[in-house]
Amino acid sequence: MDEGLLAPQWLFGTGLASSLIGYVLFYLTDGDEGRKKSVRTRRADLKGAQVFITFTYGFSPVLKTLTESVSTDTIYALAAFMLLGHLIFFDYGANAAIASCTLSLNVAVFASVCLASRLPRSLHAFIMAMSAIQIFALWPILQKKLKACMPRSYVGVTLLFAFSALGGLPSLSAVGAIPFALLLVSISCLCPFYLIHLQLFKENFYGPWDEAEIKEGLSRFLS
Amino acid sequence: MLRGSSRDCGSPNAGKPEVPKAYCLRAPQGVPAVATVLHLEQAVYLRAAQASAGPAHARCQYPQGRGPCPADEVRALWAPCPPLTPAAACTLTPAEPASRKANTLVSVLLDMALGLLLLSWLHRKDRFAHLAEALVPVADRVAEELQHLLQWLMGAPAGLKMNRALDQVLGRFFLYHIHLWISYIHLMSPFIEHILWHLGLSACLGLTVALSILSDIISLLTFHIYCFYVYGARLYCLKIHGLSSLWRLFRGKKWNVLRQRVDSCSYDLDQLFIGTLLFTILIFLLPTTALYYLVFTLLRLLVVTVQGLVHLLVDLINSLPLYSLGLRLCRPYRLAAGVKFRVLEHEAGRPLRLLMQINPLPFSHVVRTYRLPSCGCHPKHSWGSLCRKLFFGELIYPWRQRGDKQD
Repeated sequence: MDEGLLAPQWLFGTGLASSLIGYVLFYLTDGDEGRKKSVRTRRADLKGAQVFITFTYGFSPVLKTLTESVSTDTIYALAAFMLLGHLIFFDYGANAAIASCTLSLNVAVFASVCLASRLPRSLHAFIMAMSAIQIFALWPILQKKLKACMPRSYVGVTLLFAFSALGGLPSLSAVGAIPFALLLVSISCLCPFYLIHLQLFKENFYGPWDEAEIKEGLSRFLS
Repeated sequence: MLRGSSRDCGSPNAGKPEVPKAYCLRAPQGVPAVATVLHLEQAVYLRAAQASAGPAHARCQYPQGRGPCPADEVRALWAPCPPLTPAAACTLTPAEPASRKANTLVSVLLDMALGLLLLSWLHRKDRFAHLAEALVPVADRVAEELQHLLQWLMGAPAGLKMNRALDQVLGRFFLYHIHLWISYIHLMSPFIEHILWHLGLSACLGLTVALSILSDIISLLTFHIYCFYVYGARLYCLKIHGLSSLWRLFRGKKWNVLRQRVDSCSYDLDQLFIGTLLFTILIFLLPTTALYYLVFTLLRLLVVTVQGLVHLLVDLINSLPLYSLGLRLCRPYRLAAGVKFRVLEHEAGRPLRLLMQINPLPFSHVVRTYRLPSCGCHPKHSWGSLCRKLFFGELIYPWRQRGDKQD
């Protein structure tokens, strides 16, 4: 949008359409069970969306002039740092203490607001903020749902997402796209392959011949 | 320091028959039988271990041999001494109330004399008109300086980067305020001379009254600085509170009011998003607000310092014990710091005879002891709490007493 390559209205329309599709998919994937179990009604969802849109639209003029006096390099560095934080703290499904979905979402929104303040008009800033919330907040929810219900399609969706990100990068800088592709391939394919390859050299095997270790408390027997 | 020892008062000869032992206080040099200076309220106990000791008495006299001191000044109670009990107590009474009344009277008289002097000096060369003429340009000058300061803040002060939009808003708001103030001063200018003349009359009630009125006039003239300080402080305080609360939301935690601690909390999606948005906005607007707050706080502290100095002067005039100081100069024996004992007769089988002399009080002790109670307008908080209040943007009330109603 900064370079005029993307018309904001087109992005807004696409974003709206994709969020509607995602919403429908979300409720379709487990049929009626999900709707009965969840506490939120459709009305609450609509109200939430309305609150987002109103607030963001109201604050977009403020957002536009927020970082006028800060230099561009600082903003880029700050945004990169925050997005890195988003990647680190994201809840990938493993039981790690460092995962905190709140912090990752907040940091991502902070980064996107920083970037949005660089855009030429307040409408652009508003649309950028809306896209940010779609990508960072709504998409992971849908992803988790898909992973739980239809694991096979999950692989396809992930690949689609990765390729679209890869495809969007050369428009900004072709030089940056190549390391990104290499990084993606290495993390997704090479590292697991190496891990499995190293299993051959493993020397510590745990089996039923080891001493028993009490891992949990006895409270579940006492209750 | 005083050290006590219950031994024979300076008798080097142990072979003599028993003499009444006295609990005497030894000077650091180890010279026996001359007591060191006691504090005013302490009692001297003379202990006699022997039942055969007769009643001990002391004879006191003024220095330079003016005769024995009257009984109401130094009351010595002596009693026959049973063994191992305090035999006698000699107490010196503290300052009687009469001296406090005398101090107050002399202070008030001096105050009024100084006030009349000031009044006559003001009337001599028709200074009231000069003062009134000088006052309005001074107020104008102050307002102009403030305007320059605000223009400087609205630009790029000291190379700091400020948010332009907020800067403009705040700067224009304060400039309009100054404009109102200038109009008010110009409206009042015809009446100032009369007001000053009437206020000057009150100086005949005392210099302290004139100084207090001066302090109030300073308050009135810098009222707009006080207003700016309150606006800036409230804005800054709001921002700091908002930032701390939103920072907790950023990390996914919440303040638990019941337990007075920070707990983790699962927020809704819309709460998270709006909270982060507001947090970003507040953080980027923080330098601007902080700078305005800093500038106006410094101005307000300057005014408070000036007023504080005036109050200190008033306090000094009110609480200095002139009568007691004069008494110390002319008749030092009436203000006693302690007594000196000297052994006159020290023989076996006869009562112990001591000579008591009065030590005059040093001047610093006179001021400290006979000081009149001042109105107690010292700042109630320490430096640490002052810094803490400044950092969080809480308003500072320098002369609010502890028992007053809190805002």
